[in-house]
Amino acid sequence: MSLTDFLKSADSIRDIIAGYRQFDFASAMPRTRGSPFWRYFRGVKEVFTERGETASAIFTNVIRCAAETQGAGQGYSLWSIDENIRRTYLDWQKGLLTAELRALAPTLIVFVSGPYYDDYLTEEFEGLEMTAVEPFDERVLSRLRAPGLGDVPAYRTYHPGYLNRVKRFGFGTLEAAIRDAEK
Amino acid sequence: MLAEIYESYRRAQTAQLLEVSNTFFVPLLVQEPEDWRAAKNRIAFIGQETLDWKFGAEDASMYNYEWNCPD
Repeated sequence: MSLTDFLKSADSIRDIIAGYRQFDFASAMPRTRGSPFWRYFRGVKEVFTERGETASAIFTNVIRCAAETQGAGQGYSLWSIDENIRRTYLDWQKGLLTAELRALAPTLIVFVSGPYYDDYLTEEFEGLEMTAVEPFDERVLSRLRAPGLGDVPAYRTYHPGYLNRVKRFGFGTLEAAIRDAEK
Repeated sequence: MLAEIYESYRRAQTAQLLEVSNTFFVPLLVQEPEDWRAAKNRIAFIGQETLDWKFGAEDASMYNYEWNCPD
């Protein structure tokens, strides 16, 4: 399905949402479930459940649509396409993430987008301020504040694949974020 | 409420967007898990881009990741 299909079919929302729920953090996909990405997410939930607290998690992405540049049915980064097309797309998705977060009312937001996607965050969240969370520098772990994020503790750290590769970070940035949120 | 938000974006289609929309795959849209509203801790993770969700041994070697799942 392309973005065109989504735009033209009223049923597309129902179908995509059903697929999202069915995916359920790759619960039925052993190979995918073992990736650093999904292990990281389950690990965060475990931090809370091990304390005897209930926890639920949801995931989404800064960029919602993959680019289809080769006609081969494979998704490519938004960086791989013409700047004007990229701009048209970004104008369309602007505000979507803010609206979703408002509707979802999370108690903790963790951007695992890494510093290379900060420009997108700045565009989405007007007045965004980033502050390093000790002992890490701003690129590794930042607290985010913006009107669009409300009072919800929000952080930005690296992608789990990178955190896993750089062993000195591992799960440490997330633990530091949780400690900071609970201050 | 999420469905209403998504519907508003689906309808917000400009001629300019329709000209290029075949350049993109369908968007990632979310739905709360059943335990979301009742949970004391509700964590929203936001990643980079929606490319694909596959992961295999070839990805593991790229990430220098210890791979324990059978292919």
